[in-house]
Amino acid sequence: MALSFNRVSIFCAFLVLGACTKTLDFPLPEEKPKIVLDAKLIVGDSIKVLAGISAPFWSNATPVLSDSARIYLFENQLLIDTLQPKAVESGGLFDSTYFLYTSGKPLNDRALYTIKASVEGFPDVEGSDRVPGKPEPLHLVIDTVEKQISFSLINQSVPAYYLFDCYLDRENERLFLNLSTSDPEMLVQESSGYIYTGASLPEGIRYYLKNENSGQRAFNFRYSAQFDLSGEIVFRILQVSSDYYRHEVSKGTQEADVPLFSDQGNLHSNVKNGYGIVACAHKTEIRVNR
Amino acid sequence: MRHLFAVFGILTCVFCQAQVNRQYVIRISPGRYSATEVIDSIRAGGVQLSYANSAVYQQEIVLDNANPVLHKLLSMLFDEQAYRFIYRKNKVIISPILKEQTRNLNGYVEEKESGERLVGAHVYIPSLNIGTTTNAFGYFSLTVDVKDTLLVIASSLGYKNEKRWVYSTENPVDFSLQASPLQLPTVEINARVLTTDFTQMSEASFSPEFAKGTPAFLGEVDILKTVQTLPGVQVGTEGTAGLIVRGGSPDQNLLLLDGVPVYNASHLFGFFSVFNAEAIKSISLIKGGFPARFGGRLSSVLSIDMKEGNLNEYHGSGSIGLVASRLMLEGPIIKNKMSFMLSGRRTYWDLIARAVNPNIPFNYFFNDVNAKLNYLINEKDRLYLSFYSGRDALGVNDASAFGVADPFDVKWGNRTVALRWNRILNETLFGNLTATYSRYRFLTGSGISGNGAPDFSYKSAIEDYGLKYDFEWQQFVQHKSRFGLNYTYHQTSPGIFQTEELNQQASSSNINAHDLYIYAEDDWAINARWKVNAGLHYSVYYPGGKLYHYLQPRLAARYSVKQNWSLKASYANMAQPIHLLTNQGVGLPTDLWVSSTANVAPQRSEQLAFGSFHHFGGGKWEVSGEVYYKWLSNLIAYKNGASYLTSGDWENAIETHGLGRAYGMELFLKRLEGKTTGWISYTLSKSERQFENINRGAFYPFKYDRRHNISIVFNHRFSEKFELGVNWVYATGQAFSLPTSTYYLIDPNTGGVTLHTDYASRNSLRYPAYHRLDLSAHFKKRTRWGQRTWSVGLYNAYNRQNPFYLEVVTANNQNRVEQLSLFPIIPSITYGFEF
Repeated sequence: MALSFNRVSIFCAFLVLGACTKTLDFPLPEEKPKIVLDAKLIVGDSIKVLAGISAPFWSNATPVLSDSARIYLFENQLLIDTLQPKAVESGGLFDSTYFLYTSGKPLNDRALYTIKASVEGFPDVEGSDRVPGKPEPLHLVIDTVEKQISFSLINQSVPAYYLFDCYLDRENERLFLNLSTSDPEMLVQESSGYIYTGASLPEGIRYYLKNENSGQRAFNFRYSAQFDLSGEIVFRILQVSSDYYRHEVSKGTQEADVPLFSDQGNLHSNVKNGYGIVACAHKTEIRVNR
Repeated sequence: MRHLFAVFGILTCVFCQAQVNRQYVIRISPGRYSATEVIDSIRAGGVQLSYANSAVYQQEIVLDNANPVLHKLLSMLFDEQAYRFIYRKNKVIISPILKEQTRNLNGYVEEKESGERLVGAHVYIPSLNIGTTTNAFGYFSLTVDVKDTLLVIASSLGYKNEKRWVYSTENPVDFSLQASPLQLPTVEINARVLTTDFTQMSEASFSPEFAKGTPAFLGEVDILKTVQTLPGVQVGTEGTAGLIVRGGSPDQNLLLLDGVPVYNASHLFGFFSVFNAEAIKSISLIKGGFPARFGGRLSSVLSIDMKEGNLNEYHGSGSIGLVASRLMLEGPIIKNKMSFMLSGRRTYWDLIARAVNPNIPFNYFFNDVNAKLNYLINEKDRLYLSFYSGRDALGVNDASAFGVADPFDVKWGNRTVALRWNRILNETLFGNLTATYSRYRFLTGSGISGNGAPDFSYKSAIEDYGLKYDFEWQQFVQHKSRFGLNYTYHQTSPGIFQTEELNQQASSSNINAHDLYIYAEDDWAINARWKVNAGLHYSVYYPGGKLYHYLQPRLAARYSVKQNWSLKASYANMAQPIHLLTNQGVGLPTDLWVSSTANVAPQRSEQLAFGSFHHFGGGKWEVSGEVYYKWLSNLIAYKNGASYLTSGDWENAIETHGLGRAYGMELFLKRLEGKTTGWISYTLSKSERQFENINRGAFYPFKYDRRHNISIVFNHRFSEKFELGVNWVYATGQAFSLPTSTYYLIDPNTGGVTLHTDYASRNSLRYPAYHRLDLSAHFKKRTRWGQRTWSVGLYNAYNRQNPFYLEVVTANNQNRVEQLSLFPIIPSITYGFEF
């Protein structure tokens, strides 16, 4: 009697002893569309805010990006600007031109920024965050032969949240380099967006750290790329807010959800009545001239 | 010891103050008085005094303050070292403390036929209306202040009472109870020792014989599944043996087999437990009001004792079922001196499958071996050696698409050893020294590398070495004290990956931790109405890098409203330094036991519980209601997307500093004896969790939060030859999440936008309710060699399709929810025998 078994699935089928499926009359959750904001306010960068409208997951509707939103920027609760939409050529998955809302106002150290948005037909939303202090690297050592960079940071708050990445700054182009570190407390993000929680993964394009200890802490990274490294290499150290960190980490880990048994996670948001994030960061750029 | 009593004195002072008579104010001015004048003043205040004239200690008294309380005056008049003051309504009896008449009765209660010590048997002195119960080793100790010959009764459910006149010089006093010819497979609760008598609340126990009478999944008797029907206890996932107790996590249950922690109590991916009913003597579950002698877990203590072995005769029992066969043998090695118990269980699907087709590419089995040696060294000393080993093994040896052998193996198992030395140190002090060993290992491998080893392997393990010394001390009539200390050395290897061909290895650091605790508790019968159990548990845990130490106070009180009705309250503060990383809660072998570290603190909990307990029908029925509130902190959980296969350090794969809260009400109606035995339980409960990075930091329903739980479990004995078992369970559906929205966010890598899915809140949806009816019938017949039993059963008798997993399927732009159900109606048949 020739039997053909397919590994564990056959065993599991044997286990469940006639497991069966049936279709349930189960009301799927219906979430009304809401305004979505994506505003990463980084001192030294220009202000760009994405605004869109979410779609209920269990409908045929699709989410949209808005070019008709009214978006206001407040600094320490005082209105300082109304953001204007600016057309951007799409990258990534969205295959068309879309709009980012921009402002030429500079961001100030330690200031509290609030973004309020309204789109006709939807409840107004708002989100606030405070700019953290500027990270000041000490004992900076750059080894362009071994492609290593090391430095220390003094935590300005406890906990302090950091983001590290490195890119090749070419004309109209940012090519992220691979980073690696043996620091066991880091979270590493791959180019796919997924954030691994393990420490021994060799490479990623972005590292996150929640540092709960006060005082000085040393860092050491190696950088590499599978393409020509000609051009200026920029190593970024961002001190980010708690909301910034939590949003990015939740976004990265959500990619890895396995449906069966696992606990699915929602994206961290500080946008009242809506989705998305309004988060601040303060950066230091180390330019590695070749 | 003086310090111990000082602590207890402070703790119980609250109760002393509650007695109005002690604080009764006597109207008398400051000044110098004779004893007679003071006594007259007391009497003038409406207080009757009963005393002997010779008892008056001070003939002249100087009062500094006006209107002193009664107790102060009495302590001036009479020597408190020699007399005690008994307050009865408006009367005070000055009774001499006759130290020379204090005596102690102690000994063992055992089963006459087998010599097996009886746990929880009652020893009672009717003339003094006092009694006690035997401990886990069948030992009792009673201190009384009467020197005369006393009538002492020993009793245990299912046994004939033994009455004996015990003379003043007779000690120790051992009892041998004979099984009643009318012995029924009933709930093992002594008819005279009722739950209304104890300070302990939130406790339940039953005998393995009762579990054998209840319907069993595939005919395989599983005591953990009977435990799941008790109030406050829930099942994790359908069909599995995991325990969720009062909103706790599966790892928060201390499973003790002969006093040794068992880490993974599951066989067959959680569908059966490791506890073989043939080898088990007693089962007891505590869900709250934990006495100080217990620690290390937050939610429950499930204590399971193995049989000791018959000291007089050889006996055996076993069964042949659809899943496994079991055999237990016991008997004397040296009659009345040394006995053994040996039990084994094994599944045989693999043997049958291989007999049908030797080339069958998969193989699974589990087995258990329980063994115990019991040696009576002399009247005062006794040794026990217990051993358990259980193993699961799954192997799949299928050819890949290219015809190359591509094996896959998973093995896991527990091993425990306990060596216990009981010694009656003196007539009031009993000691038990225990050395323990416990190990759980999980190993998986796949592929074959060039050297024949698995191409990929992963293993994790936890190993404990422990030593503890427990004492029971009954020096005083109203106090029964326990104290002791425990040291455990934990070795945890959370996970080691190895890739043979690439010669790569990645592992979390092994953690070796020192775990020490000391405890002291006192059961104090203050008076006929009030009993208090107060204790302190102090634990120290050192995993390297940081020392954790916690003082954990415990308090339980009982107020007897009437003879059959008592109210109880308890408070327990607990710490748990060992954690289980799991996504499932069903007891899968992949669950990872990890130690607290310098970065991951022990879990903590506090629990308050109140209850009312009542017996009626001559003690045959018990009804109780309890409410509880439990606070949890320092909880950990896998981050979203992390699992045991997350390489690298597990500490980076978890959320820490989680909070939890669980509260609920439990109702329990139990029939203790008679032809019909069993219970109905109902639990209304809520359990929530909070982590900084989950559900946007807000509290959310715990995965196993179920609002309603109902269990009806009964056995009915129609005759000596026929019994019927019924089990019906109902539970609110399991909590789960579905995505609710999609939207675009900026992609930081490309500068473009990407689509994301989001969830409104964690675990806001519910599976359909779970309910199921199981039936069993047992046909018994006495034979020349003993007794045989045919048991037939129906699991899920009305074929309810209960949800195991829900999935949203999209086809033709239409979404539909599909439910996967595991177990339809399943008949079973088992042949059991005893000789």
